[in-house]
Amino acid sequence: MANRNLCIPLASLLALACLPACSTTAFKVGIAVDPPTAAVFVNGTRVGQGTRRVYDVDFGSSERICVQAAAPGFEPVTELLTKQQVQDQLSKYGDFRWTLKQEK
Amino acid sequence: MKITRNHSLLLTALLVSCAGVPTRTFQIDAIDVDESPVPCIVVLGDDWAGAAENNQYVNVGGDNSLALKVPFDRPEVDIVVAAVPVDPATGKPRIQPKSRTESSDATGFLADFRRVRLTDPERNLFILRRR
Repeated sequence: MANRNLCIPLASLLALACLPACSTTAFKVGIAVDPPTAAVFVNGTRVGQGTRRVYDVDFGSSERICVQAAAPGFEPVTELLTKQQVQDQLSKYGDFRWTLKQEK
Repeated sequence: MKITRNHSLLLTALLVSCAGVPTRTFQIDAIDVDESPVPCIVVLGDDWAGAAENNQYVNVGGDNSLALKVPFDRPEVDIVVAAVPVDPATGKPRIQPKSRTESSDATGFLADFRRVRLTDPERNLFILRRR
């Protein structure tokens, strides 16, 4: 009985501790693309150019976001990223950095 | 009453049919690497004929996007966006390609492809590059 009484507050504490991680949908994401003249798109909307910049990225109710880069004479890049992939990238490596391949 | 395996299967089928296939409407747009709109046909899975029949075109007759209703009968559905040649006189597609190769041969653009999920962002931009 004593164990059971302890379990409920512990579970509540764990749930509370998880809340910020689970509910976070917005991230500040650094993106840099070479060439710097490349256009950068997040979820299909042009947000800037290749020069390194920090973007506010919000997943909202989506499980993934779509980040794209394109420049004349280069092969475009499209990445569909989950929240987990964004979190891992930010914590382990920092910015997203892409170098576009020149078209043959 | 004893529930047989057949009853269970029937019940499951009934439940699935009642729940229906979830659908989602995506906004589809297509540009090239210069950020210019590219007239394209938007194909669900491999249904090229259905795409033409349902008039699933983008940037044909002007710079616009396509509201595409996608049924998710599986967790991920393929969307192919392939360029179409447009007749300048009529503003309509000159041909209705039935494959990516046919589209590339007619336009010089490589088709773009994406595997979408029900929970993906609404707006989907496809960036086509030249062959």
